[in-house]
Amino acid sequence: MRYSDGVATIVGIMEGLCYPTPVGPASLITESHAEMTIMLSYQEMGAGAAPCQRGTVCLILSHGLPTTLGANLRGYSDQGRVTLELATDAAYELANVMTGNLLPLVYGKEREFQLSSPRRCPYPSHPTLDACSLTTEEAVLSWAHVEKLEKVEKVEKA
Amino acid sequence: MLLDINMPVMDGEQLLTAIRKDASLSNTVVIITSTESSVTRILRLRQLGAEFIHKPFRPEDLASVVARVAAPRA
Repeated sequence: MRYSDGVATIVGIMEGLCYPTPVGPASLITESHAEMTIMLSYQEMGAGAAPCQRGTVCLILSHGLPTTLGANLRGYSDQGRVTLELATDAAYELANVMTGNLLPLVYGKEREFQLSSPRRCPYPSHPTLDACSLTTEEAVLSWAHVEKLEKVEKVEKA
Repeated sequence: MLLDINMPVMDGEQLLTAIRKDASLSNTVVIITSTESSVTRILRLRQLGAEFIHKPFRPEDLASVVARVAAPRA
């Protein structure tokens, strides 16, 4: 994935979902600056000639961003109304949308992937295979492709 | 019905297929909102009679599709 394409995709998502205003590319968020990390896995499905892929990606949000996402999701002007559950739900949705839009940049648009439900996880200990980060007016977010396993059995359509 | 694809237990495509096989539900209007980018899969969903909106989308995009599918057919 070209870094500039990844950042452009994230900018479009943030603007499309009315999340914090994008400012520009950033470096991968370090563990000390991370408030919340969301993980989801993907597995290729359907018939095809290319090697099957599965892997794991993480969305890392810096301090303050989960609450901002939750407030924007509900349209709250008072961030004090945002519960941890609401902030987490907002981060889950963002992780799902970002992964769905970024995987085609990694593998191409013809490939079909099944995504797992997002869940919270510790800051990734694996080295990242691919990543892109964005600074917003309030904070920073990073999407990191942390693990890839190839040549697994495909999930066939019912 | 507004339907996502990535869901636990049963994905949106499986649900759509089940709906189309059920005579009492087969005429249900289904609009899928998803991050799916695979042209092949989107075509498959359209062949099952679903509308498709790519996430993220603007509220106006959803309103436009709802207005179109809700319009009386000639």
